[in-house]
Order: sequence, then structure tokens, then C-alpha cells
Amino acid sequence: MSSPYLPDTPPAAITAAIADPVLHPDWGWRWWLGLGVSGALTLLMLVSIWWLFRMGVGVWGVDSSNIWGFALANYVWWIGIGNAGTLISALLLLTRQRWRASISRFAEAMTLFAAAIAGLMPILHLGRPWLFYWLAPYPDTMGLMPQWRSPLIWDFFAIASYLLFSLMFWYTGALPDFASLRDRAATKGKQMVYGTLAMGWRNSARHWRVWQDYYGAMAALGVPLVVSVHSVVGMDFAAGLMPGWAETIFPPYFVVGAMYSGFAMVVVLAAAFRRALRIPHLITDAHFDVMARVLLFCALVMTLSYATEWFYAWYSQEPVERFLTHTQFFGPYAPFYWTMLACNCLIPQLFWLRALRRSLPAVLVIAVLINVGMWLERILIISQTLSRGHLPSQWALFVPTFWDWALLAGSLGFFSLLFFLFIRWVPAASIHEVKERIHEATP
Amino acid sequence: MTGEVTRRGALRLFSAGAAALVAGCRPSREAIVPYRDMPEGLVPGQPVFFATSLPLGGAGRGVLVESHEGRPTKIHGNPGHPASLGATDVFAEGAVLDLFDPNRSTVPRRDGLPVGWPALEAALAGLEEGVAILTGPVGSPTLARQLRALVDGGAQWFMSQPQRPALAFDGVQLWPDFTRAGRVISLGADPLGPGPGQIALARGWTEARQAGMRSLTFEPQPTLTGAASDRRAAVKPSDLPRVAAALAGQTQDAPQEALAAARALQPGDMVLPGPDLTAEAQALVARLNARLNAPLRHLRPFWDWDGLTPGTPDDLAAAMERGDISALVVIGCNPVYEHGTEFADLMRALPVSFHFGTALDETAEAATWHGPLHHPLEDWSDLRGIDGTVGTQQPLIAPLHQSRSAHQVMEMIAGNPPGNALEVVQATWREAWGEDFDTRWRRALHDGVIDGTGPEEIAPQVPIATPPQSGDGFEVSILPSPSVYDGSFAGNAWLQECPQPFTKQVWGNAVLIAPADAARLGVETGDPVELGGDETITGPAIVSALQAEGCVGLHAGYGRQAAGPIGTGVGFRVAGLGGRVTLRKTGGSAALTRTQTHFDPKGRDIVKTVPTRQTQAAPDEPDPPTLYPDFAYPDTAWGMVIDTDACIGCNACVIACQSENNIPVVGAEEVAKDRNMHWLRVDTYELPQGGNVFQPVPCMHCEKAPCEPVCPVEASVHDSEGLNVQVYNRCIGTRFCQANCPYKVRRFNFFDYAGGETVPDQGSDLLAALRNPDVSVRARGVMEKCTYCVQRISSARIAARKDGRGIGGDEVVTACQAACPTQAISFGNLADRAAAVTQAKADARHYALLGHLGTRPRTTYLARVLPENGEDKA
Repeated sequence: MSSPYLPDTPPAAITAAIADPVLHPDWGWRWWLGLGVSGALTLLMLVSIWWLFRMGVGVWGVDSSNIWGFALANYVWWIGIGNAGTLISALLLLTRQRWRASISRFAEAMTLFAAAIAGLMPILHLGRPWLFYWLAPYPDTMGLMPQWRSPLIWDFFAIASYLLFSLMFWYTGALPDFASLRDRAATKGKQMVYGTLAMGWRNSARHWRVWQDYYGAMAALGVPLVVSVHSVVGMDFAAGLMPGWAETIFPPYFVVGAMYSGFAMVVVLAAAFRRALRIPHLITDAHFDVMARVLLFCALVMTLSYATEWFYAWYSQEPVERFLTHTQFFGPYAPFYWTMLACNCLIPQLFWLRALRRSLPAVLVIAVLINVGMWLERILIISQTLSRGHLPSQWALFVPTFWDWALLAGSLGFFSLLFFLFIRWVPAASIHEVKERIHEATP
Repeated sequence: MTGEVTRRGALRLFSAGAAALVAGCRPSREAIVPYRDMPEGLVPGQPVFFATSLPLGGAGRGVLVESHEGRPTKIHGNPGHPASLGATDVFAEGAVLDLFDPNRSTVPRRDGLPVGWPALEAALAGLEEGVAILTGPVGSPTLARQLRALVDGGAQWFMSQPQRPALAFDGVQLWPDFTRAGRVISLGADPLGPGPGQIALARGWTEARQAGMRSLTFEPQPTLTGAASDRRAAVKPSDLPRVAAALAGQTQDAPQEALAAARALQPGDMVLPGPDLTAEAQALVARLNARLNAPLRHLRPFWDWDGLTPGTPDDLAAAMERGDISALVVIGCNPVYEHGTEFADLMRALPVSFHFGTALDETAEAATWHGPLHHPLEDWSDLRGIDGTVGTQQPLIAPLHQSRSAHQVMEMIAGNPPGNALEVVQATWREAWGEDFDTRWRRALHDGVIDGTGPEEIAPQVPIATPPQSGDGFEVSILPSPSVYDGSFAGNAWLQECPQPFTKQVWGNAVLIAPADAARLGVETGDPVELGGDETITGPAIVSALQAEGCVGLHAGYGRQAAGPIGTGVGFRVAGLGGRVTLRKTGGSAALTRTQTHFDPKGRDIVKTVPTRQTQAAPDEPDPPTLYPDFAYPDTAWGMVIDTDACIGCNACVIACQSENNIPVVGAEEVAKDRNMHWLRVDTYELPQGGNVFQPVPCMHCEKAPCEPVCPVEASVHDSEGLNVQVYNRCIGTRFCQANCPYKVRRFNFFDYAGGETVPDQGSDLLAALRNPDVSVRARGVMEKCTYCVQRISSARIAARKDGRGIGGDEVVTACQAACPTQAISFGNLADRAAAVTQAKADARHYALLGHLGTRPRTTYLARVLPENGEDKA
């Protein structure tokens, strides 16, 4: 055995380690507690959505100047998290990064769940959410089409295609594993369900060849899609003419930011799965080491992006831009901006130390902080610009309300609820891929 | 009778009103007739206009009221009336809301319980000796005639005047002719401030200013006059006499500006005395004006009638205490609010007291009997304007409630049957006109002005004013509120939500403190402070560089205790505070709601000033490039120019826009969240070189509008005449348009504001009657904004097509433009070279707000003229 990312176990044991939690559940009180807390938060989200629909977006802290608030920050943040799963699966698959095998499945699930939540946010954000389908080019009796110049339309298509892609890619990757579950299932019901999901997979060589061609092609499609979806999110802002938004750096900067927060979330989930499924031999310290390196790289790129923004604010000689940059550091939201810089730029520098990269608590804490920092970045992009626009007469501060926080906390709860159900019903790691890697590694 | 008005009931009344009006301009208590035959001149869907007068502090302003099928919906100025000149003020614009106010008094009451008019009539008829009548300032010749009859019959008349108009004193109304003045120096007078003379004086001021009049104002707290002046100096009231003395050359111990102004005084210059000057200072100013041959006329005040001398409220209180009064009849004023609760105690101690008014106010609560009065838009009367011109008042709608006219009340006090207000008013003029009555009456009703009436000059006399008290502590400067005046408009939600010009406060008043005093006491804006004088009050502080040191600035009209769900408990009452107060910071918090909190332009090129009107035109900077092709406008391209030099910041445009475009109020809590809905706002900035600039900001209707390409559903689109229009039905509320609007002029319906979700009673069925039927009411979740009054453009287009011609360049007048007393707004067709707006765009002072962004706004500005050091270079 040579790979640091793989266990020294026979293939059958791998199948057992991953499939057994699904087929022969032994979920203690921890699972039920987690499910309960997540369920309660999900309920909070549902209540906040009900209140929102009943009363209108006025229940949030948005106002005439700060016309956008948490909903769009949440959207950008969640879609960013939804970025990493596909990146790990597709980009790492294409670049033959073998270590992805044991984390790709839940990373893809994370993409799916996060993108779904992200897709919900812009709809909730609408003044008249029941009319969201007007963004789609359907044959309207009045002959009306969407407005193709609007970044929100680009966004609508970007999210929709990304969501569909993520679902198909995730399902394709899980297909052989559903077959494994079908074969190991003890009850008739489970055999039926997993059998249907496995779509008649018989583990034949031909199946594998078709599958691999198809999966590889999907991966090749996925990488540009990941880049485009977040570039378009960046253009929601960059296509405007508000100070702090009209910047050409936004699309690549948003893509890297998305990768950054997404990887950080993968680290958090990996730590949770390793603990919950008791599979330290599958998700090893080496995995955390390599993910920490990715995070460190992203932190450097983000720092460079911020520095580029500052430089251009100065270089443009545009007083409004320069004022905004000054406000970022010394204005009413300065404490949040400094916190964001600490979380996104400074603290991840600890990953230069190998010992910290391999320390699970350290990686976990830093990853959580990165996610906090990235969320702060999203809300600051919106609120700093809108609260300090072109005309000082219209300056006003954004103050979130209880319902703003309720939707954010509720969406986190919903995300974790989906994961609690996911590990209950779907193999959390790719059985066939891990086995394939072990086979490859065995001389 | 529950006091509720049902929708059906209201509609029934409206149709009755419409039928009566068009049939012959009579108030309808007669048969209600449906249109079997269409009345001549009435086209369904076409508004009709009637001339009438609206009182402010008792003095009339002529207005034209737009009526849709019998519903008055909009107040316009009456160009033929000298106190209107075609423009309006905030109070006139707000009158229609008062008319339909669901909180108006609906039935006569005794001890708060509904009774019928017969009972009240009987009670009035049974009055014996010792009747006292208390009214506000009486501007109606008919009411004065009736009062004279009552006084001759033994009644005593008292008059309560909580707010004097600008330049009005006991026995004399000063009336300046600014156009003939070389330089105007104001000593705490506020001719441009809120009041019945505001429109006329502001027009004169602006025309004079454009002709080269110089101006300098000494005042304790910021006023519109100070802001409109070339230069202003913040001086506390007790220093104003010294300034007067310096101007008269009697002292060198005065502010630099005063000494400089004294040296520059020339014949034709004018010094306007304010209410805070001592008797000696008033005499000094009068002599100075006489010496300068100042163009200042001495007119008979509008409330002054031959043979009628009212007692003061203090006289009345003393008489009540002595027991000389057996019954008090209060008509159309609110002495309990104006003079304090002691007055209510005195009223309650009387055997019987009556209150007649449009609302159940503080005085109604203290009186034994209450009778509802007609709103001026339901009533027949005649009203003197501040300059003495008498205008007619005619009903636009049959009374909505069981109210009566003050003229009928007068007849009832005299023991006569109530009769008919029209006949009472006609009797006055029949007497004056004799044979000619029929033709002259008809013409007077049509014009809204009674010819042959006008300014009545009296012998020059020295104004008498009450000087400020001496003593320790902060001096107090009190002005009428620019939003609710003397408190009589406190129940009007439009006006409560109308921002104060300088502090932009809404739904309340505040204590203005100079920065030096604030620093000394550790007070910051928003801190609650306690003022201790004859009474103790608490309110939020606003630290303002415009406030004189050693003096606090206050607005009257707030702190009403019985002004319905809108006005009750808003702000604090300042009457009775006394001339000197102590100021102390208290704990806790105080409500301070403002629509603008940053007044520093931050060095940005937002408001421009030029030193002289004859400035050289700056070379036009080329528009930044654009990828989108230009639109072509062969015939019509609308545009607007706002002259920030003419704008005095009076807010008439804001309320006119609100009335015209069915803009809802949102309430104090929502404004505090920065969600007010005004389509047109007046930004104000404090200039680094001193002084204020007002900048009205409607939608810019950008030619390259940032809102248009970002809307995903094309709800924000460009029309063929250059308008940037919002399609409410198509809007789904992404709010991207407002996020991307650099001017932030779009307004979002965060809640169901039009349904009155956030303000008590504003969703009332009755209020639906005052909506402009030509403008959509917007639902929750959609974006809205200024349309350049597209409904007016449409009706002009229809009229033009019917005549087979194009729309005239100046034919369309927007609501804000029509309301503006100083004609600061020009609007029209940019494709027409002769149009006023096209000429304004060619002015050397012309500039575009944030033009460097490449938005190519259609609404542009003319720079403010601020001579350096207040002196002409020439």
C-alpha cells in the first residue's frame, strides 16, 4: 500500500464500511439529536417563509437604499458552497487527483443541497415571488419575453442548468453504488428502491465502459459550468454602476471565492462524516492536508483580489470609489470588514504549518471561520455599496431583522437536515471508486 | 350612528355631490337625482375644476379644485388669486386628505355622546347674557358681519391666533415689494416660511432675485428665508436688536455681517423686522425703512375689521375666572391645545360650553357640546387673502357628515334658524353690490376672486411685538411647523410625513442646538434633552450648524393630545415654554425619524453653485460612450429642468406629487427604516462655504437608464417620448432597478402601503375617494417611481390629437411644476426649441446630476447663485 489516501483493507470491507450504515442502521441518540435540531431549524425557515409571503419583504431589514439584503447574500454564499462539490468531482476527476474518491460523493450531495437552497433565495427575495416563472422564456399570451440584457436572466439560466447538471452528475456517480446496496439489501422494500435507482446495473464491462465515457464527458461539461455559474453571479453586481460593484475583476474573483467557501464546507462535512461513520481509514489526515493546501491557495488568491480592488479604487482616481474603500476600513461596517479580512486572508495562513494542516480540530476551526468570513464578504459587497451610494442624501445603514436571521439559520438547518437524511439512505462515499483506487494501488 | 362611513354610503354621497354641483353649484340637501340627462359640460372621466379658497391661519389662498365625478381629488393654485398666483403650498395640497379624513367629526355630541342638531340648536337658542365667542383669526367678511351682529347683541368676541403670518403684527401687515428692493435684510422675519403669504412672497422674492436683488438674513434658527438668502448669519433673538442698531448706524458692537451691511445700505434697500425685535428696535427699523424709502407697504391685516375688536385669549381666561362668562362658544379653533389644559379646566367650570370644529380635538373634549363643522371644501364662504383680496369659497362636494357651516352656527347663536350658508354669504354681497349682484356673483364664483377687493393700505405704523424675555439659560426661538403649521394639520398623514426642510425630520419635532452648545453639554443628535422653562418638555436633539449659539430652535404644532390616530402624541408641545429655558441631557431615547441624515456633499459634484447669474457656460463635456444605440425622437422628447437657485425648499412639490400620484404614507416606523414612498424628494446639502442648497430629486428619466437593462422582466422600459416608465403589472420585485439607480429615486412597496397596512385608518374606504382615477394604485411587492405625470401627458396628447395638432412644448404641466411657488421647475418638450425647458437647458448654469456616469438624465438642474461673501463683484 503506497497511497496515504487509501485504507489497507480488502475491497469487501470497504463496501461493508460504507454500505452498512445505510442498510443496517445503528444510529444512536446523536443522529436523532442532530436530526431534531436540524428539523427545528428547518421549521424556523418554513415559518419565516410563511411570514414573508404573508407580510411582504418588508419583514426584512431592506430599505429604499439598502434595497438588497440577506437574501441575496445568502444566495451568493450558498451557490458558492454549491460550487466545490462539482469542482472536486469534475475538476479533480479530469486532473486525475486520486484522493477525491472518498470525499466526492458527499461533496456532490453538498453541491446539490446548497445549490437548491441557493436557488430558493432569489425567489424568496422577490416582491411578488409567485411570479418568478416570468424569468423563463415561455410562450406568453402577450408575446412577452424576459429581458435578455439583465444579469438576473443570465443568473436564472446559470442556476437552473447548474442545478440540473449537479443532480445528474451526482446520480450518475452513485449508480454503481446503488447497485451494491441493492445486492446487499436484506428486505424486499430496500431491494425494490435501490434496484430501481440502480437502473439495472449489472457490473458488466460494457456497463463500465459506457458509464466511464458518460461520466467523463459530464465532468468535462461540469468544469466550465462551475466557472460560468459563479461568473454570472459576479456579473449581477459587476454589470451595475454602483461604486464597489462595477469592477471587471468580479467574475473570476467570485469563482475563486466560491471555490474557497465550498472547499471550507467540504472540510467541515468531511470531519463530520469521518466522525459519524467511524471511517478515519477512508478520510485520512492526508485528505485534510491536501484540502488545507487548496484553502491556503484560495486564501492567497482572495487576498490578491482584495488588494486589486483597493489598488484600482486608488488608481481610478474616482472619488466615490476611493471613498467606498476608505469606508470599508473605517466606516460603520468596518468591524465586519476587518473580521472578514482576518477570516479570509490572515487565519488561513496558519496552513503553511504542516502540523496544523494535519490537525483535525485546527482544520475544522479554520474552515468554519473561512465560511463565516465568506458570508461576511457577501453581505458586505451588498451593504457597503448600497449604504454608501453616489448621493450622500440617500445614505442609510442596513439593519437586519429577526426574520433575516431566521431565514439564514433556517437554511443552515435545512442543509444539515438534508445531510442527516442523506447519510441514512445513500452511501456517503463512492464505494466503487474507492475500491478501484485500492485495486490500482495494489501491485 | 357609529361614525363609520361605509363604502356604499360614501359613494351615495359622492354621487349626490356630483349631481348637485353640476346641476347648479348648490350644496345638496335637496333631492338626489341620477343623470337621466347628462348635465351640460360634464364628460364622465373628465375632471372639472372649481375655484374656491382655502384658509391657512384664517387667511385665504385661492385654489382650483379638480373634481372627478363629484370627488375633489387634487388642489391646484388659482392663477387669478394674488395669494396663490397659480401655485400652492403643502397645506393647500393636503386639504383633500383632510376632507376625506376618516377621523373627522361626524355628528353633534353632548358630553361625548351623539345627539342631533335640533338638541344643539335648542341649547344655543337658550343662551342668555354673558356669551363669549372664541374664534380663530376671522378672514371672512360674512363671518365678520355675523360677528358684528352678535357683538351688537351683547356677545363678547375673542380671537385666538397661535401663529401670526410672516411680517404681520398687531394692527399692521407689512407687505414688501421685493422686485423694487435693491437689498433685503431680514431680522428674524421669515417671509418665505410657511404661512398664508408664503406663495406670493416667495414668487416676488424669486423674481426679484433673478433681477439682481441681494439678500442677507439674521435669524436664530434656520428658515427658508435664510436658506434662500445670499448670506445668512445665525444670531440669537436677544442679539437681533443690536443688529438693528448696527444697521441704523447706532452701534459698532454687532456681528461683522451687520456692520458690513450697514455700510452698504442704499436707498431702496429694505429691512424686514421679525417678531423677536424689541419695541425700540422695531421703531429703529421703521425709521430706517422710511429713510431708505424701502418698498414696504403697510396693509390692513386680514383679520382686522372695522368696528370689531376682539379680546385676546388671556382676556377670555381672565373673564372666565372672574365668572363674567356664562357660556363659551368656540368656533373653528383649538384653544385647549393652544393655551394649555388650564383653559380646559376653565371651560369645564362654565355652566355650558360649545365647540364647533371639523374634528374632535382637545377643545371638543373639554366642551359640553360639540358640533361638526364643514370642511372648507364642503362649505360656502368668502375669505380675505393675506393681502386683503377676498376670494370666494364654494363647496366641491355635499357634506360627507352631519356637519354645518360656521355661518349657520353664527345664525344659531343669534337665535335664528340655521338657514343656508349660501344665502348668508350672498346676503353680504347682495348688500354690497345691489343691482349687479347676479352677474358679479356668478363671475366671482367662476374666478374665485371678488373683484374690487384688494390690498388696503393704512397709515405707516411701528409694529408692536413681544420681545423675548431676558434672564439666564437658552433663548427660545419658535417657528410654525413647516409640516403641520400651528398643529391644525396634525391629523394629516401627508403633512406629518412631509420632511422638515433642514433636518428632514418627519412625524415629530426636535430641539435644534448649535454645535458649540452641544459639545459643551455633551449632547449629540438623537439624544433626548429636557427643556425647563415655564413648563418642562422632553424631545430629541438635533445638532445643527445653522442654529445660533445660546438659543434652541423649536417648531410649534406638535404634541397634540387629541388629533386622531395620526396626530395624537406625535412630537412635543412648545407653547407655554417661556422665553428662556435650561437644557439638560436626559437618559433614554427619543423618536427622531428623518428621511436624510447626511448633509455634507463629501466633496462630490452634486450641487453646483456659481458666483454670478451671468456666468460663462462651462464647455459641455461629451457624454461617456455607450454600447447601446441612441433612440430617435422625431417629435417629442420630454425633459425637466429644476432651478436650484429658485427652489426655496418649501415641499409644495412633494405633497403635490403625493396627491396627484396616489402616493401612500408609510408611517413613522417605516420612514425610520428608510422606506418613505415620496416619488419626489428634496435633498438638502450644507455647503462648505456656508449656506444650504435644496435639490428636488424626481426620477431623472435617464436616456441611458441604468434601471432598464437590469430588469429581468422588462418592467422598466423606455418609451417613444423618452420617458423611463415602470410597468407595475409586469414588475415582480427583484429591486435590481433601484439597486442600480445611482439617484435612488425608485420606491418599493415593501408592504401593502396603499392599503394602509402600516398607518392607522389609511386603508379606509373613505380615503379611496380622493385617489386620482388616472393613476394606478400600486400593490405590494412592486417598484414605483416618478412618471413625469404621464397621465397628464396622455390627456394632453388626447386633446392634441382631437384637434389634429402636436402637443405644445409647454402644454404639459407636471404636478410638482404647477405647485411650485417660485416656478423653479420647467418641464416640456425638448424637441421644441421654443419650449421653456429647452431654453433652460441652454442656460449657462445648467448641469446634470452625476452626469459623469453616462446616464444622460432628462431631469437636469440650474446651479445656485451664491455671490462670494454675499457681495456682487460688479
